[in-house]
Amino acid sequence: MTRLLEHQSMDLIAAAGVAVAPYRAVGSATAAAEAARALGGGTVVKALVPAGGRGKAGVVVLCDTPEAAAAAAERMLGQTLGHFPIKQVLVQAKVDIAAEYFVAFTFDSMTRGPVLLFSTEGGIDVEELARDKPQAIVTRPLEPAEELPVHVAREVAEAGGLRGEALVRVAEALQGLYRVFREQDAFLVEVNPLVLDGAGAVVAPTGVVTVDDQADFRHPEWAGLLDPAGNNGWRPLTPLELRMREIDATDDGSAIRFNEFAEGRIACMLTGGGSGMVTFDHILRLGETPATTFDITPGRVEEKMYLATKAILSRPGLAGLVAGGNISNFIPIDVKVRGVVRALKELGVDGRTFPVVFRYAGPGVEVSRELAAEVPGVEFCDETTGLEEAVEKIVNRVREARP
Amino acid sequence: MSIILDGTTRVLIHGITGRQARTHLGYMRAYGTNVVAGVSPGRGGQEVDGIPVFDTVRSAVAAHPADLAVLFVPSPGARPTALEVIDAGVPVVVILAEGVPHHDTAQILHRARLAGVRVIGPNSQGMISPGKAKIGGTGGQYPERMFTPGPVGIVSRSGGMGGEIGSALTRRGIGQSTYVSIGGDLVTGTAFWDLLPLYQADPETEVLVLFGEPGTGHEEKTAELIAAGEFTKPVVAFVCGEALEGLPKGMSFGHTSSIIARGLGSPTRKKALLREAGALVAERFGDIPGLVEQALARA
Repeated sequence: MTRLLEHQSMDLIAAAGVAVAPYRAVGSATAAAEAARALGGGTVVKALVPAGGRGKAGVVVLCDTPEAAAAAAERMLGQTLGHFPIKQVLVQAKVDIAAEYFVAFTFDSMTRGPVLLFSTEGGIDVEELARDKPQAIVTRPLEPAEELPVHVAREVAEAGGLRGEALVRVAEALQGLYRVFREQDAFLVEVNPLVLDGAGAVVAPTGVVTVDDQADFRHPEWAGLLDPAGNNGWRPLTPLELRMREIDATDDGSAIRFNEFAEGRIACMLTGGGSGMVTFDHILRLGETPATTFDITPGRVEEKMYLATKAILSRPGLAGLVAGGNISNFIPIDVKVRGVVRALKELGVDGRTFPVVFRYAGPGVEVSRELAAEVPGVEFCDETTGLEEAVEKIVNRVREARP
Repeated sequence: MSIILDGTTRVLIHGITGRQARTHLGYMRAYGTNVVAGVSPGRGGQEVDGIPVFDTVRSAVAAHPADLAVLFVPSPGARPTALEVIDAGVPVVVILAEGVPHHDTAQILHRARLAGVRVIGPNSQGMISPGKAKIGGTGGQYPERMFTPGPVGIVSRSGGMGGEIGSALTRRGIGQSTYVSIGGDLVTGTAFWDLLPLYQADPETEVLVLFGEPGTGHEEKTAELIAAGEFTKPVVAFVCGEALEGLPKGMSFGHTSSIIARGLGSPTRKKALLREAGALVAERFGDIPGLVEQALARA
């Protein structure tokens, strides 16, 4: 899932025929003033970061003059919001608000399809609304059709309490936003608030589009949209995470998922989504701190395992390494082990001073055991040792080596 | 008995001429799976290891009626092949591909619902009824290493951890009735609760083990059904991902649904609900075999 920046989202929303408040993305105070002058009238200056909570953080500012817009931009640029540095701001024409609505299209695990959420109490934190006043949110499961039938859009607006002209206008906007959701392979399209202005027109002054990366095979145009060095969902990538993306890009025969934790001291390369979570839970339960999570899909993995191991072990502050994963059903594990062992040998790792525990089970286990023995002091576990036990072994060894 | 799959189930393989499919075709047949036909557009009239290959599912099932189709196609091919299988009237479709776009999955499941077809997956690793048959990658070449016939049903949102459960039980001398890998995506064709009536009706299954994850409302609804008496056999449940609750939203371990969104699907809450409903909830994964022994003694 990749959350687009606001102006990218707004471009898509405007292209789908929904009226937006005019905007410009700029990177300096001078450019902000210029944009405000060109837009004319009052503006809103907003930090351009892929994260929510901007209003509360004070990085959405109403400005009456170009000078005020410049000052607001000056104040924001170079700051960080959450973990994101503010490199650009959005200068947008102020909208005359008569009413504010909340709109979101996403997927629901229980109805197993798309769902439309709508509320006439927009403009506030939707999580708070969902908690304090769930009855104010209309939830409508949708058929996964080419378009949102206009009667469904009107029924949703009606269920939210709208009548007459506003209902018709909002329904049109809902259809447009559904087009973004469907055509852009979005996982989420959210507009909060969708505004009814003083003249009775419906305008989107903001928007969040999160695209489903799994559909990138049919969206070559995303290449220009998604920043490969962008973020991992809640913060910008660390240098090691960036390096891992480079390693991953060397071969499309498998895919790496990687996270780094600043405070962690045990490098974890335990593959498989489920085993990754089980072992992560257990390390924390034992009071230790994982430094990484690492997963790789089956395919051509040996070279990537080699490069990844080298990259991970270059990280300062590590006290040990645990590598492996759940029992492989059919993919020979020695291919992975070969890559890891090559890296360990090259780096001169000695398991007696830098604890290393392997938990590899499945086809190729005997070869893997022999490969592991080429690195002194590596403890090799197979399926007779559970994943949690392997975690206990690395934790105990790390504590012995570095109490 | 077993659920969905046994040695008599007639299995069709879509994408049968691919390298992976050929490998697993051998493993499946060696284990007893009754593979009747394969589909590979452009390869109609050929054979793979004696299994006839057709250009379309329709012509395949006209000659060889099938009870279940397994799709050995990469994620971009999941929607077209699944829709083809559904249109041809095969009652169960297993989608192994990982990374099927949400919009595609939704379209597949919508069409399946209208046609009354059961979809397992996407991102399923397959399933096995030990001693009878297996489909997909489950168990690999030597399934008996991990799975043996017996009284425990297993349903897992993680393919890898389902295998770990099978292996741990087998090493304790406890066999399994049917293991189903349902896949870890947010939107999937089959959830735990879809399978409860089948395991309830299966005389061989005495205890059911569930491996849950963060996200979705699946564990919650399962707890509701157990509490309501819809499922009366003992349940041993494990839900991983508690550590994620302390992490920022958006952090993913590679299972789409493990992204904790909007406070839904927290492992702590899932476990509490399952416990209240009467399930034996394992705090550690390693506790599962012991709890299964307790449950079997009770069953």
